[in-house]
Amino acid sequence: MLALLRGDPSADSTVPPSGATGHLTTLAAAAMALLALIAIAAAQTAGRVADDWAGALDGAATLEIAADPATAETAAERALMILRETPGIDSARRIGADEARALLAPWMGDTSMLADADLPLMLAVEEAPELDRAALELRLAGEFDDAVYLRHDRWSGTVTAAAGRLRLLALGALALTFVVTAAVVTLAARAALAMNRPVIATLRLIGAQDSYIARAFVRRFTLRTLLGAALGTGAGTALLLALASGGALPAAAPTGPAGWLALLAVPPAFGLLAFAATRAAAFHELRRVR
Amino acid sequence: MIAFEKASFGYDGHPVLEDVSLTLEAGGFYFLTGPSGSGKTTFLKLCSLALLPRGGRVAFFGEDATLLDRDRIALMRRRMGMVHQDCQFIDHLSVRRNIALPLEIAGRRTPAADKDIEDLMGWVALGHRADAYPPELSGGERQRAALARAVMLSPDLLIADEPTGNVDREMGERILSLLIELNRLGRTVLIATHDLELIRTAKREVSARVLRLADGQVRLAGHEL
Repeated sequence: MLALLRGDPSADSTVPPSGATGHLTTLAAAAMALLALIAIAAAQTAGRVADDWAGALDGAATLEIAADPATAETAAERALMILRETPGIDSARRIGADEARALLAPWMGDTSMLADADLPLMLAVEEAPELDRAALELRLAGEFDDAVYLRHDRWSGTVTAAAGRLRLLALGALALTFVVTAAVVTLAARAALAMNRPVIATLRLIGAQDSYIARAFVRRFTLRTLLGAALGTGAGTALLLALASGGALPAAAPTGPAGWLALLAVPPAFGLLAFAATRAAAFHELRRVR
Repeated sequence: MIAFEKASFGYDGHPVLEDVSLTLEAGGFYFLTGPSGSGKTTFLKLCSLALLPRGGRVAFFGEDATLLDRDRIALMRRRMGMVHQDCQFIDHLSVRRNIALPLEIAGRRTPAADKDIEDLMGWVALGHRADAYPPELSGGERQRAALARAVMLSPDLLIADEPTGNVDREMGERILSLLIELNRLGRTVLIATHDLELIRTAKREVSARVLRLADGQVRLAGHEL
């Protein structure tokens, strides 16, 4: 790879400039790198959001008891006692009427009409992993007629699964950018090799080995792809930072060393891909010339 | 140097060479003659590893041609100099670079070798055209440039297809004298030509043998021409 970057002036100059084919390779690599960055950002964002939501909802539950106002206090005391006695419950507290109305506000808007309504008795519960939930639910059912024990992770599971699918889609799109880049580079290299078949025939005639001839093509297309990928990565990074700082998509900006590393790995990954694709194309085409 | 053993070749089932057996000895000077379409170019292509025999065997420096991989073929070609009728050049490189290319490819271009390149261009009277590009050369100049390139690596064998076909009599004799000089240095020379006068001139200087191609066979004509 170092030899590739250093180059061989002799081998490089034997192949005429590839002109439009080379420029198209740079342009395609830039576009694909930009799309790759967007795909990486989408995958990272989906993963991060799912983790945040799952983390926030994990182990949380609500106990709802339909009790009339007269017996609510007693029921609350009883429920709290049961919960505190139960192994595997980290904490339990009563959700006051004001807090309950505040929780309903996002769905109902103005909650002033609920001021006089009887809201069910609600308790916020934090579970520990060792909780025997089935036993608790049985006991609650025995104590209260209308007790509903709601685990919040029933929603977080759906959200996490959706985020996981979104992440897979993003990774699929990322893989697609690699496939398309490899295809474009292969086609461009093949076109350049076919265009230069007389040059290749002359070089073979005077004793050039395939590796000597391939070197010039491989170096040219690898460097063009690297350049395009670097430009695309630069543009993509600027776009993501702008989206994040402008507030349009705050989660789009890469976070932590791993996030940045994933973005910065795009140009070298594209370079390696171009190296492999051009090398395979070159040796395939060279076999046509004896 | 090159040994044909019952070697055959044909195109699309049409035989061009059949059961050819002969040996080109090291240091020999050979002319290849025959009517158009008799298979001279095919024979030269077999001699330059551009084609492989469909039957029989052709051995180069003791190695069977069919067993050579692409890298070995390339290395083998560095031991041969070839001057084709169409004098293939790389058009965007100067005449000097084209002539020096075999040295570069072999990784043997050194400052000392640059002096040899200049000498060689003088030898073929192209010193004044060193910075020109192949499309700017006349037919004769291209022939001489191709000859200079062919001998750049001091090959053991020089193969030339009608090397005097595009040049006047005087230049033809000059090219022939260059080939004779090479032969006297111990190189094997194989020339395909229709020019009987060229053969007669050569035979006055060296012990040249004439290979006649006809009806798919190559016959050694000896010294009687």
